[in-house]
Amino acid sequence: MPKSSSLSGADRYNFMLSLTGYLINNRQQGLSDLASHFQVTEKEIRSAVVTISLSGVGMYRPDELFFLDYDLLEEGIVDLSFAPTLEAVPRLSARQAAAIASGLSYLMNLVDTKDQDQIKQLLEILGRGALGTKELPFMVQPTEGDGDLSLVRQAVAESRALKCSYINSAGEITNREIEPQLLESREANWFVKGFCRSNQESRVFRLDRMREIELLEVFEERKLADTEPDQIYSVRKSDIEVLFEVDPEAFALIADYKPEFEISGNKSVQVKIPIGQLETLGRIVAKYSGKVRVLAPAAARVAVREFAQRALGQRKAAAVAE
Amino acid sequence: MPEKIDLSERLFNLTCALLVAGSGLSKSEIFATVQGYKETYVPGGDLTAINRMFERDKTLLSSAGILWRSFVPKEAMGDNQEFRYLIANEDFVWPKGLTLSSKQVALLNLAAQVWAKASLSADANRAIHRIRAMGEKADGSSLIGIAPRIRTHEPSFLPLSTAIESCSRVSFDYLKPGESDFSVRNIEPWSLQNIGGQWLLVGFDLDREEPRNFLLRRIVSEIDIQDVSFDPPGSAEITKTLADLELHKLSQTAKLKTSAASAAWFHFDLAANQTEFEVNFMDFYLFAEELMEFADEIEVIEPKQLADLIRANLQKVSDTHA
Repeated sequence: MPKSSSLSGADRYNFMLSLTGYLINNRQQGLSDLASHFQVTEKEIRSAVVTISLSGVGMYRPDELFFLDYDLLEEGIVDLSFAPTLEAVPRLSARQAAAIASGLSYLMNLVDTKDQDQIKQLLEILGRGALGTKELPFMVQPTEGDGDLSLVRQAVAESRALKCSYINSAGEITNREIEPQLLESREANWFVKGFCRSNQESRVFRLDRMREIELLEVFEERKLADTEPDQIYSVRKSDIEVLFEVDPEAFALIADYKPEFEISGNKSVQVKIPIGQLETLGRIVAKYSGKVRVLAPAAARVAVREFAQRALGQRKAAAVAE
Repeated sequence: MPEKIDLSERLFNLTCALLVAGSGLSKSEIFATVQGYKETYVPGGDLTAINRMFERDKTLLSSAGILWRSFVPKEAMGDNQEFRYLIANEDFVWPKGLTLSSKQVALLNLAAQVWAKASLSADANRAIHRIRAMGEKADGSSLIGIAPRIRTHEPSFLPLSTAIESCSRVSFDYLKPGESDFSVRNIEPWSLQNIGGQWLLVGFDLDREEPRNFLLRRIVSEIDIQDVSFDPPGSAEITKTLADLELHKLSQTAKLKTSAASAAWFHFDLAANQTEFEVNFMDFYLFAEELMEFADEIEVIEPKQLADLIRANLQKVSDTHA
């Protein structure tokens, strides 16, 4: 009998409680259906129900509290019955409720108004569903609504192409037709991944660099090159490896450009990140006001310095004009 | 020899035992009958290890949102006063009559994904297991193609959220921008709030004797969680602190100027011929950083402090790349 489990102690405990609650209300479930419902392996399900059936407590000996039909299990059917009335599914812990409520609140201004009503109801349920009257330990405040954001979300959901005016990091403005596939975010910033008809390739677009967005017709699905999940920009052969030194306050930079990099502790770290165009580096680094430093190559340091001096120069010129 | 019972099984057994024991169980009854305990229990022997295990398990149940109660039965008052433990059904299950629609389940799933790979993904996933256990399948056709992400890369997030849950005092070193030295803060932590992508600790500052907000990214030490507890604040107090923060933001306005068709003009979504605009901001230093990537195309008309900050930041970037 498989006993190994990929879920760790607290996760497996949580899963067994959840599964028990589900099986009380749903007798005779297919192993594969359960696996797909909970998104865990069949092996995990089998191991959990066997453990559940063997648990014996108090006056109930093993196999008396829960009864598992092993004959049916051999046929891939899980049928678990219960001696006492163990009632259903456990509510959420304060942390669990806070994690979900924060996520919902973050989604608030992304979804359509119908879904917004659903979110409001769910937030109320989570408030009650968590421990007693205690406040959730953390929460995300919804951001202001953004018309462009909901328009692009609609385009993604309905597989519709869009056209817009786009300003790239070099400051060039072009009209684009994009087949949007994925809308991603990093806190306040939103990114659209999709196929750019104008360039005939997959690109990442920053939503705040788009204007005059209009939805076009439904587009045919395309097979796109897989990108690394959670990495906004994909790496190209022509990219230049830049060595950064990053203070803890600016760790967000690493999360954006090199999410697989393990950050630990409270000290500055050095990290190499491939950069497409050195001309864009000034903007990226300036954002962190000295808490990110480019160490190498020399050309990259020059690009950052020139950006800062150009911006300073413009300031001086403006001061003289006054 | 009995097979070794792992943590998840012991916790599951303990939970079931406390749920089905109508009048509660004493510690010795738990040790004698619950699998995971009874294998090592020797009545009258040295109970140090098993007692410690029980204390740890109680904490684990609480943090999983499984609320246990302890009481001394009336008839035992004055006697040996042994505590009895139980889990009341109404503390365990979701509020009666609660059902979720398939659309709501889809929204909850997406809300959990917001934490992908962040420090709360484990809590979010456990919540989703419990939500799936309620039976409804997700229908999220309108939510396809959205990958929103919140991050918690500040190392202080987890210890602070733990301290908030247990209502424990904390102290930490806080470095205010513009000051060269940090100060030690002694705080009753109330809540963590994400506002516009920034995590803030809302709490009562014991030295300044008033509620204060702290940006997590400015905490420069580890969080020292003290063994001193406090009464949790009412929700009204937290709401008021957040409202004050919003008022503070509305009271601070920057007047900015850029040129049409610049990246800043796109970013701030200005009208066709608009070049001057106003923005409210919460914190001088944060807003200056937000403007840094547009530093070569934005002019700060007022306040002067903001213009000076941006200039100083640019100078720092230029100097560190000389």
